[in-house]
This record gives sequence, C-alpha cells and structure tokens, in this order.
Amino acid sequence: MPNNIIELKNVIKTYAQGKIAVKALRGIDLTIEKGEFAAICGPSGSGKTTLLNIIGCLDDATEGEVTVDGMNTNDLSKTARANLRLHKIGFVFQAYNLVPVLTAFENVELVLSLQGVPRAQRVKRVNEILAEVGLSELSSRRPSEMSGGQQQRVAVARAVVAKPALILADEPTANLDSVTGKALLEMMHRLNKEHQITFLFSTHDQMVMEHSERLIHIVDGGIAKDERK
Amino acid sequence: MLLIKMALRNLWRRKFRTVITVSAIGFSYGLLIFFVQFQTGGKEQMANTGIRMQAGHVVIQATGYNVDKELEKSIKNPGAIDKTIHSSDKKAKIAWRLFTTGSLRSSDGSVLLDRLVGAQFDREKNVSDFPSKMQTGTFLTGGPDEIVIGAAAAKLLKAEVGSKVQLSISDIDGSIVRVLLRIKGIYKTGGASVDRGYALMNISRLQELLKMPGEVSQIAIFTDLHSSKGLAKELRRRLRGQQTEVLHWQQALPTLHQLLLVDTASMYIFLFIIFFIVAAGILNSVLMSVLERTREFGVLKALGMRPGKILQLIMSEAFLMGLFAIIVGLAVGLTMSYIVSIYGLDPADLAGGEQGMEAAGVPLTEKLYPKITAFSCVWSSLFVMILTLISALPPSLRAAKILPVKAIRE
Ligand SMILES: Nc1ncnc2c1ncn2[C@@H]1O[C@H](COP(=O)(O)OP(=O)(O)O)[C@@H](O)[C@H]1O
Ligand SMILES: [Mg+2]
Repeated sequence: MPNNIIELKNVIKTYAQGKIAVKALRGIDLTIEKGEFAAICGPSGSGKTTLLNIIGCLDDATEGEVTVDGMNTNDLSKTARANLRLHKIGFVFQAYNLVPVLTAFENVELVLSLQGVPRAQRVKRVNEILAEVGLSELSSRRPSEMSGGQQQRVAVARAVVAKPALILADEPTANLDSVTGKALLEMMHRLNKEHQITFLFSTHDQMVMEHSERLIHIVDGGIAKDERK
Repeated sequence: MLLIKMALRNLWRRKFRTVITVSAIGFSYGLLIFFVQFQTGGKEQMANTGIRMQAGHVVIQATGYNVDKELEKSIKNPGAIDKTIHSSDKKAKIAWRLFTTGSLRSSDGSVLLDRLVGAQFDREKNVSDFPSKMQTGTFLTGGPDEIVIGAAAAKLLKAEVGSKVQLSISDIDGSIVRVLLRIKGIYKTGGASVDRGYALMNISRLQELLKMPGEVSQIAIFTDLHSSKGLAKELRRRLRGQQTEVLHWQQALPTLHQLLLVDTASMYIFLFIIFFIVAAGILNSVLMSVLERTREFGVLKALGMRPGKILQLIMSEAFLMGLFAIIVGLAVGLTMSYIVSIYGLDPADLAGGEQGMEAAGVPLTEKLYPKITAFSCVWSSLFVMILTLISALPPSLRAAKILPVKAIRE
C-alpha cells in the first residue's frame, strides 16, 4: 500500500486561448499523504481549480505525471476515470452542486446508487452520515429549501458517504459567511479524523488557511511555499 | 427507478413548459386520432353505400363489360355461377342485374335514364339500399309492368305512384321498344344523379323486352368489406376460362376507390403536420432543459455518472412527456370520436348546407360516424412515442457529452 494518495511530478497545464497559450500550471511537484488535511491557497487565477481538476481526473495535464492512490491517471480511459472518481474521490464544489430535484437524502444516496450499493445498506449509511453532519432533520428537504451552509453540508455528506480515499473541495466556503464557513470546516476536519479520509481544498479564505494542517501556496501556476503546521 | 423519479420531478419542476409541450402534442395527436377514426368510418360508409347502390362487394360480369357497357356483353349462365359462388361462400348474398339505358316519357315530361336496372325484387330487397329509400309507394313486387323511379325523375315527369309512363329502350338487335309501365314506388336517396337517372324494374320483364332471356349484365355478391378480396380471388380462379371477369368492388367502382385513396393521402398530410409538432415540441423542450442544466450534468458526471446514464435520464424525461401526450391525445381523440359517434355528422353541414351531394356517384346523405378502432390508437401511439424518442436523442447526446470541467466552471 503506497502511503501517498497523490503524487504529482512536473505537472504542466497549458490552455489554448485563441492563439495565445495560457500557462495555468508551470511544473508542479507535489505529494500528499493519506489522511492529510491540506489546503492549496493562492490568489484568484493562480491555478488552484486547474490543479484540483487534474488531480480529480476531470481534466488532463498537458505534461507531467499524476498518480492518485497508486494509479497513474495519465493513461486511463474515460470509463476508468469515471470509475476512479466514483469509487475513490469525493467532490465538493464552490456552489450549487446538488441535484435540485433530489432531496438531501437522495442527493447523498445518489453516489451509493451509482456504485450499486443495495438499498437497505444505502439507507443505513445515508442516515448515519446525515446524522454526522447534523442534517437528520432536513433529510427530506430539496436544495432550494435549505440555506447555503446546509446545502454545502449535504455536499460534504455526499462526498464522504462512499468513504472515498480522497475528497477534493474547490473553495468550499467561498459562498458562505464566516461563521457558517468555520462550522463547515470544523465538520470536515472531524470527518477527516474519524474516517481517515484525505481532504485537499483550494481556498483564498484566511479562516480556512488557519484551520488546515498544511498550506500549499501557489502563485502564477507554481508552488511558492509549502508549510506544515 | 431513480431515473424515472428524477425525470418526473424535472418535468414537474418546469410545469409550465411541460404542460405546454404535452398539451400541444396531446391535442394535435387527439385531433389526429379523431380525424383518422372519422375518416375510417366515413370511408367505410361511403364504400358500403356505393357497394349497395351500384355494385356488390364482388361483382361478376362478362369479360370487358366494365370498360365497355354493351348489352351483348352479358352472362348467359347465371344459374351455374350462383352455384359456384355458394360453394365458395355459403353466406354470400347474390343478386342478378341487367343494365341498360333508355328514356321515360309521360304526358307532361320526359327523363333520360343513365341506368335502368332489371332487378330480382326478392333478392335485391336483402342487399340494396333502394327498398329502404322509398318515399312513396313500394319497391318492386314482381309484377310485369312495375317500375320504380327516383324523386327527381318523378318531378320531371310530373308523375306519382300509380301513374303510367312510357319506357323507350333499344333491344339487343337495335330495334326501339316502347312499353307502358306503372310507377310502383318513388325513392329518394338524396344523390342527384341517382334520384334522376336511375330506375328499377323486374329483371324477367326487362330480359323479355331486350330479347335476352336468362341473360344478366352483372352478378353482385355481398359479403363484407374485409373478406371480399379473398372471395374475389377464389372466384377468379374457379371461373377461369368462362368469359367472365370477377371484380372486387375497388375495380368495379374505380372512381369511388380513387376518391377514397385521395382521402387517405390527406391523412398522410395530417400525419406529417403531427410529425412536425411532435418533433419541434420535444426537441425544443428537451434542448432547453439540457442547456439550463449543463452544470447539473457536469456535477453528475464529476461524481462518476456514466454518459449512458445521463442519456437515459433525459430520454426518460422525453419518454414520460411522450407518454403524457399520448394519454392526453387518446382522451381528446376518443372523446371527440365518441361524441360524434353518438350524434353523427351530416355531410351537408360539413359542405356548407349543400343538398344532394354526391361523391363519385355515391350520394352523401347519411350522417357520417367515426369508427373507433383499437388499431388506430395503437399504431398512432407508437408513432408518437418513436418520434418523441428520436427528437429527444440529439439533445440527450449533447448532454451526455458535457465535459464536467467546462460545465462546473460556467
Ligand atoms: N478553460 C480555460 N481556458 C483558458 N484559460 C483558462 C481556462 N481555465 C482556466 N484558465 C486560466 O488558467 C488560469 C488558472 O485558472 P484557475 O485554475 O481557475 O485559477 P483559480 O482557481 O486559482 O482561480 C487563469 O489564468 C485562468 O484564466
Ligand atoms: Mg478556482
């Protein structure tokens, strides 16, 4: 069992924007160990989202090697990537990432359904995780009937429910007020400890940086500083 | 199950659009059902009227008579042919007829007869429409000097039941024969040319006058619309080499048949319009919903949902919309058909109150009724459903191909 959940070697990402090539990542070398609670921070446009997308197999690196949970993702097929995401990675996006027509319960259950988990087991696990994020009472509400903070907690529950190896969260608190954001972060930290799930965020929120155990600063697509607390 | 649940809720979420699309498709589909059923009913009625008044489901005539109606082209052995018919179809009703042309004269006027029918009064009663259309007097009873004429002819002759009229015809040798007959009854079918130019008398008397004893122009056979083709085929085989031709009603009444075919063509135009409404309605509705939900599909794919599942999700929505539209359509169409089948539609009303309407020589006087067939509902439902799914396919494929990176950045 490799101890590193993520290994990046000289990852470069270039976007072709018309005739100009935009270099979003200029040679990233990064290793994240299992169980870490780490944040990528940097100003807007520095390449945080691009980096998370590449790690999450949503996008390809232009150059370099990407290994997730011991698997080199460069040469995986689309189906294999979808399966890797389904079984190994949980996602939390900045906003609006719940299915609007499904209730909180169903949104969380969806991932287990896609994995083919039998119904009885699904119900049990969804109820457990909703209790953990403190949403048992709201399980039959639709996203439109919940606050932003509650929606984001459902999103975290959805990311966690299948017990993935890694959760990628792209600016999860950006749309939340500071009190709600802090509560969400503390909740994620707890899940990180209880379930040994690796969390990797991107953020430019001072509060999130203070809570993370490791801060990877990126500026203009390169790692400027990597500090562990 | 989850997909159907999501699909239903997505449709419900956009109630207004769903209702518009479903009702547009449903109502036009309902009209189609009514139209098809009304047309099927009307066509069968017209065919039946034409068959009862002018031919039979199958007719047997001397070879060439159908094209060239000469007296000499007659059947000399009708009795033997009757036996053949009965051994092919026991239940078939048969009537012999001898046709010629001539004129009628009274002291006050005259009228040309396009078709003087020598009829077997006892058999004709069971198959023809004329006995039930008598306005005054009665149908033929077998007397040698009886003649039955139409109301328009009676008016021209200023004659009534019991009046004497002089019939002029030319016999088989070309000599003019004049004879006095007594009007036994006057019928009114509502068809202008039938009420004026047709007349019926007893066949034995006409044979005698034409010097054609035992000969007939036509043996008309009555079964039903659907089994008649098979009977025609069998009789054709069994009567081969007998100088006769066996005609199905579509061949015996080509003008009527053509008219009914034109009617069928108009149904295809209607079908095409429906095709357009379904395709445009579904395409628009599904495409809009896909465009609005780009982000949602991006997230689902990021979570690991396969493109095929996304395709299924959207196709389920289209399927449900199609299903609702079909239900609305069946409800609308069958209700219309049902109501009209109670009261009937008067063809004169449809044509703006015109009287004495005819189509291909068939009087359109009876009310028309739709014919509710299971078949018309089943195939048309399938048609709508298949069209729905085909129309929904391009936008669904588009959604299935959405790249999560792009969708989430939007
Ligand atoms: N699809 C794209 N096409 C072209 N340029 C892009 C695209 N996505 C991101 N970029 C560029 O790449 C750089 C990094 O973007 P991003 O990863 O979104 O940064 P961050 O998440 O830190 O704000 C920016 O300069 C942005 O304009
Ligand atoms: Mg970003």
